[in-house]
Amino acid sequence: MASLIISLCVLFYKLLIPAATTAILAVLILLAVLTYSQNAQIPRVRRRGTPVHILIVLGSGGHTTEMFYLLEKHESLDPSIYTYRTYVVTSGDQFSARKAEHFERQLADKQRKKAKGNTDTGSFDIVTIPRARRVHQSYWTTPFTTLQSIWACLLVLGGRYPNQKKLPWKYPSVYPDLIMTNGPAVSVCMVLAAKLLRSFIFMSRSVSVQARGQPEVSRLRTIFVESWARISRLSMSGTILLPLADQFLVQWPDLAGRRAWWGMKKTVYAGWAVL
Amino acid sequence: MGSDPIKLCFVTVGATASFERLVEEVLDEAFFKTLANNKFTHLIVQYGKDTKVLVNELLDKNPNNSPGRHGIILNTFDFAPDLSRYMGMAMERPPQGMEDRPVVQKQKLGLIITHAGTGSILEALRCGVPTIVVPNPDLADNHQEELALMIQKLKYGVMARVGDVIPAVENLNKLIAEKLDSRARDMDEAQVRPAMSDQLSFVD
Repeated sequence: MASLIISLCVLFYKLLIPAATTAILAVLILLAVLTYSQNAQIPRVRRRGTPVHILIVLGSGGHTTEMFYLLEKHESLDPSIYTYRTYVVTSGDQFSARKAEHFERQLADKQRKKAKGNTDTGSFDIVTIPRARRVHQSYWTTPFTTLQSIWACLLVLGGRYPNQKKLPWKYPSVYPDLIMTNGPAVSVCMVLAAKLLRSFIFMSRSVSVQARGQPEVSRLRTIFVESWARISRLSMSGTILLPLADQFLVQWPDLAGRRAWWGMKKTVYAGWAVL
Repeated sequence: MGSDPIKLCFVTVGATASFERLVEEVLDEAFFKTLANNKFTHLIVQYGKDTKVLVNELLDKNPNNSPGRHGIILNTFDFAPDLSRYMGMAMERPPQGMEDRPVVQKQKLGLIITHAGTGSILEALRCGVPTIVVPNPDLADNHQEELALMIQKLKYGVMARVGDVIPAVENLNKLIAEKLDSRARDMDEAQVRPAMSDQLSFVD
């Protein structure tokens, strides 16, 4: 009996303590990496007039409506700057796809009216990916569909999703330069995917001799705009993305100045972006 | 092409959840009467999901041209991709100060009654039409109610509970006189465009 207890104790010391230490270390490293990543300065090397590829994540009804209102306001989505636009919609969401087409038609009309010689609005693509979680889906299968969704997002970001249009040759990278998201679940997957891709790019650059020290044009940067409906409490997506998004905008003063933990970037009050 | 101006009350319950209690309330004889008393001519109801049977039942109670309608011209549908078209029909037309503009049909400033969904409230505010926001008590998510209260506090519209829509309509004229400003004021500091450009980090 005594020997059994002793051998259990030995097992505990041999296995559990190292495992726990590794786990705690891993979490600490992750937190440090996230803190470093969110505070990292972006080198100012992008020239004006170079083509920019923006990716816009659309979700269910309200989120899509808000997204187009904020892109339209002050012509935030200026087609002369954002020359290529990829809209991501989830399967079965005809509403968002139609809204995107309608929005693009408006952009083209506006550009034609301006008609200062240049009526080119660039081009766009609408990509449909599976939903992260269907309504009433069992919670047991949610992790799998979420992984599937992140995989789909990775493919979209790399321009390799089936039926995705090929980016014109003048774009030096397949990756989008900027990613705009607001509330829907798929935006969490998209920001995670962008973060993952960026860490791979970062690591591959730091082992490559030529690339080291060379400033590079920033890509896969993410902006999250919290829903106008959120007055005093962040949404679920917002809470998850607080340490992950590069820029976190809120539309009510109460939500400004929030951060994930000490040393992280704070949320910024952007006024009413959608009205 | 009648020359009589129309005055429309547009009701929307959104697309994601049904809101039978609000639909029941606005397709009732008492509500038609309230509208008629307040010089409304038209009522359009977007009733949403799984409510068609109920709507047909309610319409049979007070069929077209029956005295129960109180002369209100009624139209119902379940969904439409673009509600702003209907909301626009509740706007004043021709707009104040532009009375010489030719219009097909003159419109008086009407009313929008909406569930507390973000998209619908935003669209109503953008039209500048007086708005009554009715939160759906069957939905667990209480941030909608918080939003409705805030809309009322900022005087963009009024909040009404289910069952209290008629008094809210009765009080509307008083509220408009009290400077119920449903027109969107600029609450913004235009931060989105610079934030986007910031992330791109241009040379200059």
